[in-house]
Amino acid sequence: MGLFDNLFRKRRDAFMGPADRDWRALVPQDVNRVPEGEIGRKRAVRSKLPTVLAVIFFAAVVGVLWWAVDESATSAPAGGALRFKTDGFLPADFVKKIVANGPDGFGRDVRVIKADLESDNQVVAADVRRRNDGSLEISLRERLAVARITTQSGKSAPIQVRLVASDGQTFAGTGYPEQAVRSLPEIQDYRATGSDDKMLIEGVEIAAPFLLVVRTQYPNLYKQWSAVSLRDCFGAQEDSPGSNLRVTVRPGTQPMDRPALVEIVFSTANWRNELALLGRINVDELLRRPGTTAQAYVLKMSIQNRTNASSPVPEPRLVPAPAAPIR
Amino acid sequence: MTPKPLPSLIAVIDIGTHKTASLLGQIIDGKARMLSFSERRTDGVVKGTVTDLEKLTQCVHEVVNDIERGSGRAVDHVYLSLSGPAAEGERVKGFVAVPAHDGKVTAKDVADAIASAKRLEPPSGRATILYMRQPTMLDNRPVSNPVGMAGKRLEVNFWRVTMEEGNMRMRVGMVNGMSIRVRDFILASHAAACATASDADKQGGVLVIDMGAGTTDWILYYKEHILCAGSIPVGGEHLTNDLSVALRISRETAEDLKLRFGSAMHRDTDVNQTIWKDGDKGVGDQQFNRGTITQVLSLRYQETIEFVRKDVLRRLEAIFPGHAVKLDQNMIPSGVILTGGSASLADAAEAVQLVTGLSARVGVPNFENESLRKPEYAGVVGLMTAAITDAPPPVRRPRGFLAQLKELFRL
Repeated sequence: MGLFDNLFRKRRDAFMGPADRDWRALVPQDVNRVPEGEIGRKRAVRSKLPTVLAVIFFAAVVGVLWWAVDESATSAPAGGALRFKTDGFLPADFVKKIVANGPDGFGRDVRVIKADLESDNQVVAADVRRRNDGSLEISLRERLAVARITTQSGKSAPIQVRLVASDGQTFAGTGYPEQAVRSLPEIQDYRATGSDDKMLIEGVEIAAPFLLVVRTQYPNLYKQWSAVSLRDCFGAQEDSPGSNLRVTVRPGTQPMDRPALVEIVFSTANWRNELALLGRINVDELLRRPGTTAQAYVLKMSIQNRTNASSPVPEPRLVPAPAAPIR
Repeated sequence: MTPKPLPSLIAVIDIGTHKTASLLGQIIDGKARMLSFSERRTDGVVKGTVTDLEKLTQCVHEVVNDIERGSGRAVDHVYLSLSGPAAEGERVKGFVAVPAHDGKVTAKDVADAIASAKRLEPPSGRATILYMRQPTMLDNRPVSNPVGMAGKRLEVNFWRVTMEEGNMRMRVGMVNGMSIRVRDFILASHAAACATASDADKQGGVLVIDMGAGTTDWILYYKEHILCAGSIPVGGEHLTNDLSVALRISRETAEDLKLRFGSAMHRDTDVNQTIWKDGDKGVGDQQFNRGTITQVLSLRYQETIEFVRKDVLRRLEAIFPGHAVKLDQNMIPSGVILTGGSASLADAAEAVQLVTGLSARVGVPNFENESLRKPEYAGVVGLMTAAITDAPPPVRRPRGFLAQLKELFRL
């Protein structure tokens, strides 16, 4: 009935009699009470069972997904409130020390902890998260050491060994095993400014990528090299004639029945091509050729055939090593 | 209170004296497709009156449990049958003087007349369960739809069914105990008629007798509408009881003999037949005279039908006081339809014909499931049919803000 009808219609009968005693009006139905009897209870369980099972199923799915996403759940937590993971050698104690460095300790802001961790040259990137239970979850990516250097800040100061990363940064090498450090080739005859993590080495921007390529693509050569000399490396002037990387070969890695190869010289401008060529030539056969009468030789990869200026071709030559021992 | 439109899932429960049956159906294109059916022996009901609520509740809960497990669907609402002496019927009427100058009846006049009819208070302590429409009269002329017709006095009539308030609370509470709502009550005799009588039968006039175990419900249709309905507390169990007393046998044996050898008509040839209880003629087997059985049963059966006939006449005389009412072929051209569990007795229709003088037949419900096409299932199948037939058409609500505003002000 319309609103106008209800408000303004003519009322013929003011009293329409008592209200009808309809059963729906008399008995409000109460269906929310606890079901009666065993059948009622079973029925209630049966009607709610699909909902309960669906909730359990989705909770299980969410739990499994949570567990799968949480990669660090597989590594044991260090110190109870810290989950730590790294791809290098940094020990958990080192991380704990940095994390607890401050009045708030483990309660510090994760961004501050991340900045502290990344301030160390050995760390490339740090992922710091705080879990719901308050524990910290730290994942580190470390720099890859490709060489080592020895430094001495003063004449009476002790000699320090620092590691050189593929991007030229030097770091202390915390947690590195002694054997791993000794197996790295040593960079010699370098000129450096600054100290510790602020140290800058002239020419390392060429030597470090060179060593990284050798380490990753020519691992057999890398194992035989004991040092790389930057004596003739001019750094920024890498294209200058005579700018070389001089690699010292470990004496113990060669057979005794032929002349020894003591040094390999790469030009700083063309070392990639020279490395590729070195990988293909048989150095052992070269040294066993008739006419190789000297006791030790230097392999000069840096001599180039300049018939085509746009793409110089390396022309390796064996040169008898000078009598004086090469450092 | 306006009844809600029909849901897609309908559950009905028919609580009888002998058995409680439940049917769950799905409505597809206005027709019911059976999903599950259950019936169990009723406990706690004698002659249609609840005597042990706890046992009856257990029984109802079991059938609901059965249909839910059978269909795999949860039941929220049920339709309950209403039978026996608990349900009382009476005729109520409401009228208005047509206010229009030209005497044209409007829909509002009809609504006012209906409201005035429903304002008549039921007897003290009783609640109105349902109203069933009877012919509308315009200036004492029966009309099916008076809107637009001219007249001075508009009268609407209903057959109102009431129930004792406590009894009704008990039934609703029993169903609510299973966290299920009672959607509506349906008169058992009306349900039986919906299952067995056609529209043509109702249009002409038909008396439907639903003879159950404890009660016999009847309903009379005249010119498509319900004229009156009633119930007498006599049923098939009385036949069994009489046989048990007459032959001095147990009720179980009497029930068995009634089903196997009983008849609603006694014939002289029956006297010459001797029947055996078990048939093996061994130790413990008993022999009876079939004539005695049919005589006992036919007497009680015909007496029950006579009670129904008298009850119908009594009701008709109350409706039409001062008129000489006769139950004959002119008033009820479609005759009598007999249904219910006791309609399965042999020669039942013949006995009804003998007593009432009207043509009679046994009504079998027209349902898709063949196992339910028996007179004893007319009640439960009819409940489903009545629920669909009596449901209000779906209300089309106006869509959009303007349409709703228009509806509000009826512009």
